[in-house]
Amino acid sequence: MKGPAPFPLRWGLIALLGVLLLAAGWTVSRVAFDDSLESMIPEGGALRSSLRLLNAAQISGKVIVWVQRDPRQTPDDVFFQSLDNFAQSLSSPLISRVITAQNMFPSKEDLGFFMTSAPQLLRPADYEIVERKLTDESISNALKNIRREMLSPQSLVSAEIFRRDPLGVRAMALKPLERLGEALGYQIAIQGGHFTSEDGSSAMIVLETPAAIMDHARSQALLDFLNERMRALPSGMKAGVICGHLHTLSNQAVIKRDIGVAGFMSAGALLVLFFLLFRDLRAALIFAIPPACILPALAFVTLLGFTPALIVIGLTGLIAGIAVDYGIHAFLAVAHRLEREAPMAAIRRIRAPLLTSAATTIAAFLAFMFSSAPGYRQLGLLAAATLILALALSLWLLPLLLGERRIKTAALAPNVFGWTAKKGPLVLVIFTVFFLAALLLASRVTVESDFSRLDGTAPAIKQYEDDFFRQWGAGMKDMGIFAVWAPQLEDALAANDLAYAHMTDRGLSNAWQSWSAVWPSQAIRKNNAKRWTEFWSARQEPLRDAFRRLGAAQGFSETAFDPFMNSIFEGAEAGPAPQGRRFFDQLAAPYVRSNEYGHMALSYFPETPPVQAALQNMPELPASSAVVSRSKLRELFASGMTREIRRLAFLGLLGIALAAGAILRNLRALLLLAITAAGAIAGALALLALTGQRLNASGMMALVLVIGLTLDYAVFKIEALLGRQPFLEQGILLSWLTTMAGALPLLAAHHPALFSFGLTLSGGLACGFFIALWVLEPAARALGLGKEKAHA
Amino acid sequence: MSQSLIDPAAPPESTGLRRRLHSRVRKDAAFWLISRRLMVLLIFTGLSVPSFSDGASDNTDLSRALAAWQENLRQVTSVSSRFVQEKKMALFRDTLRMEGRMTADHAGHFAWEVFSPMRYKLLVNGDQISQWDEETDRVQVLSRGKNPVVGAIYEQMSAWLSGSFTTLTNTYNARLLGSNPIAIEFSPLESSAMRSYIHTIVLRLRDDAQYLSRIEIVDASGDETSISFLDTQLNPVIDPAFWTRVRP
Repeated sequence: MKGPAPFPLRWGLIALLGVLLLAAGWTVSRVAFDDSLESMIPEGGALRSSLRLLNAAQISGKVIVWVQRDPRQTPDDVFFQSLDNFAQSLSSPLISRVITAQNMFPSKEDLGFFMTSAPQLLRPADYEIVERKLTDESISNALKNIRREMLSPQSLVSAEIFRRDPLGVRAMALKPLERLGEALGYQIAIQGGHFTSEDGSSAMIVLETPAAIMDHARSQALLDFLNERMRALPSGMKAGVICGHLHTLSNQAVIKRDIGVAGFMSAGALLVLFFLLFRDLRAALIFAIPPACILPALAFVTLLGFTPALIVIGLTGLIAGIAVDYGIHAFLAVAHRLEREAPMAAIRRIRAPLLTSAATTIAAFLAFMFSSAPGYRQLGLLAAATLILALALSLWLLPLLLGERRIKTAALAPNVFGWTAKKGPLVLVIFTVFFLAALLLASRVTVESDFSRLDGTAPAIKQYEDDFFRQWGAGMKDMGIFAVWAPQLEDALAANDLAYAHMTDRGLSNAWQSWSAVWPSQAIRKNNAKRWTEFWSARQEPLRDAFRRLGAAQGFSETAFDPFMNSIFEGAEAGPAPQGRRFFDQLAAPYVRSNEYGHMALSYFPETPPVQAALQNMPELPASSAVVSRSKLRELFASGMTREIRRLAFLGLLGIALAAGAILRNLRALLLLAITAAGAIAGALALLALTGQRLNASGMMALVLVIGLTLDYAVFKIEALLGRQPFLEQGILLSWLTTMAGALPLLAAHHPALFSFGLTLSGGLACGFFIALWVLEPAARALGLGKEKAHA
Repeated sequence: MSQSLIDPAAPPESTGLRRRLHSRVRKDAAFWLISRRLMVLLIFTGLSVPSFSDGASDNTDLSRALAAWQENLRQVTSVSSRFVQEKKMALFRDTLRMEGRMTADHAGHFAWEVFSPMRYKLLVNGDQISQWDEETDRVQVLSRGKNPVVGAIYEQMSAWLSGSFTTLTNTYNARLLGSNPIAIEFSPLESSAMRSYIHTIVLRLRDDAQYLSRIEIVDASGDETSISFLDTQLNPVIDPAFWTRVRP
């Protein structure tokens, strides 16, 4: 195209782009964003399956309201009455159940159920204790205890219990229930019908909600409702909430805030660049390219079935920083075109380096497409689509819109380029020293294996949770989970019994919290019941006689213990697990559940060496089983992410090398590219070491990008060295400045994933840029690449 | 007795001794006792279930009687009374009769002493509950928070003895049996777990309506308990050391 673009073509293209943007905007506006970090975890691996198992096993959807009081202002009666009123005020479709100590307690029938089931629940070892209770001396002492107990106020209600179980034999079935609570590590007291801290200064109310943790709208409505109710508490009392919903909303708020702040800072920096370096209003078109590309690319990603992850959206500022580079180069090419040269002709002269640069960057992003983490694939696709569109708009639409009129640009500090040419050996020595130092520092960087550190929840919320767990105990928070599952509940329970027996054989029954201790499988209960029947068949009448004989001496009536003696064989038939027993179900909930795995039995354990050793020797179980623990998750995460990033780095580098090699077709040029990339990575890692940061999943992703972006600078520098387009060096500076305008604001991000990305990227880009700017020329000369310049 | 009479600096039992006693009690406590404690705890869970009864509010005479009693109790900051407790129980051949003294104050202290047929004392001092009996001569020191059964019992006794109508009307239906002297019968609400254990409780006031004269309890199994209060002293000065000594 030699003349200016025909008027209808220009406006036709603009109209087409407008329609495309509207359609893309409409598509994106209908999408619900995913603000979890789960999309950054590789699918199909042990890590993902462990996390899936953990999700299936964890009690989610519960909300804890922690109410604290100033004892000087709020005496006990006011405190407990206010708690009652507060619990009553929590009537909402968003709250399905309010759990206080009052309604968590078993009824007489609930306890009666366990005591009645004692024949099925007492194990062989328990009969040694029972046998000791049956001597005359023990019976006599028990009767004395009962008589003495009648002196105390609690005798008002305990007499009937003594009649039904004078020796506490059936009550032995309740012992595992007590242990269950004790070993979980919570420090809870019960006062005034409420769960309270041991010092009574605070109370806890647990809520069940149908609002899913990931459901933002309902999570927000739930928290608004609770906040309103908590504000109504009397002065001298304050309340807060502990729940996953807060994490969801906080992460979302933090990411949104970061996107806003980073976007504002990036826009500000780009505006400053615009006013300082471009003296032509048409330069605004350059900055219109990224948003005009990102929106359709996002719509494209969405149409392919991805749910856009907010963490990926947070990186669009950076993608914009890359996408704007092509426009800058095209703009400069048009600005520096020869006299009477058409804009399109000027563009044709930079097409090769621009394509090389875009190909290397896109290749780096496309490597993400081979990731097994959907978030990485999404990022790769979004970035590649954006860059392809940006390249197309820069090469074909921008020149049309710029028109024929000459463009004036500011001089771009020409002194920064080329000064190293005369001091080549010195520069190379300095570079080598810095490179080696960076490598040394980089070797000290460790990989962050704790995925939870990428949780961007506000520090105040985390601190509040820490305070909560400090007061109430960690509970099951830090315990490992052993899960067995099978299509049939009894099969899962049978496997659970075997695991429990394995642990009790090793003296670990107190550490190993298992439902098997409370309610074993039907097969075990049948055996237990048979043992009970055999035991009592021979002892029933002698015991009746003993009660009469020894009781008479202490004033007990002849029929005092008939309720016990006449129902001695009650409960000696083992049926299936009870249905619809509220207390039973409440107790079982953390230990037995039905989910996508079928029926799952869970045991909890502290990660101590003896338990770990016993786990290693766990016998083969007749059901599927898995161990999920923090240490194992860390291990899986570290190894999984390292493996993933190695694969991506290899594929990325391969793609970049192929793309660059195909276009440059010069081995020495490829070597220069490798020097740039290696220097940039070493620099980025050295910065992490110097700032005391670990390399996390987000930083690893940034490293791959560093390679793609810094190779752009190298490609343009090599093109400039080869004498093809000297003004390309100006493009490198502008492109670096605009990319840094996108990366540096991420250092103000509160979300650790975004911050880490920004830090790693900024460090890598800074090193890559300075290598391209100052090291490549002497290095090229040393490699003899300068000779080609003469031929060029 | 006002709160100022309680000397916060009064020497408690030494921490070491308490710990040893506590440890010993924990070690010696019979297995069945622990489980029974769990059971009794659960019995009391319905005591403060906040379901409101219309019974009291609909009955003007009852409301007036309760209001009068509460007004009288407002002047009472401490109380000490001899009691005679009689229990007619299926467990025993004969009526079990015991005599003792009950002492309480508004600072949260409560003592239940039995002098015959055997000496026994229960002492509630803030979060700490101590029990002693002469037969074993052992002191059990328990935390009210950690042993909610005893805490719940204390709360319930406290409601009866101090006329805590919120607790009572939240848990029971109330009926005025007589107004001179005042006698009120409480029966657990249908929603209350107490219904499984208590049939009725009758609180009888003295002629001057200043305090209780008698409590009569019929439990769900038909056992009957009556507690008669004699020589009741209102607002006596109580030696602060009294609340720290469980062993006579």
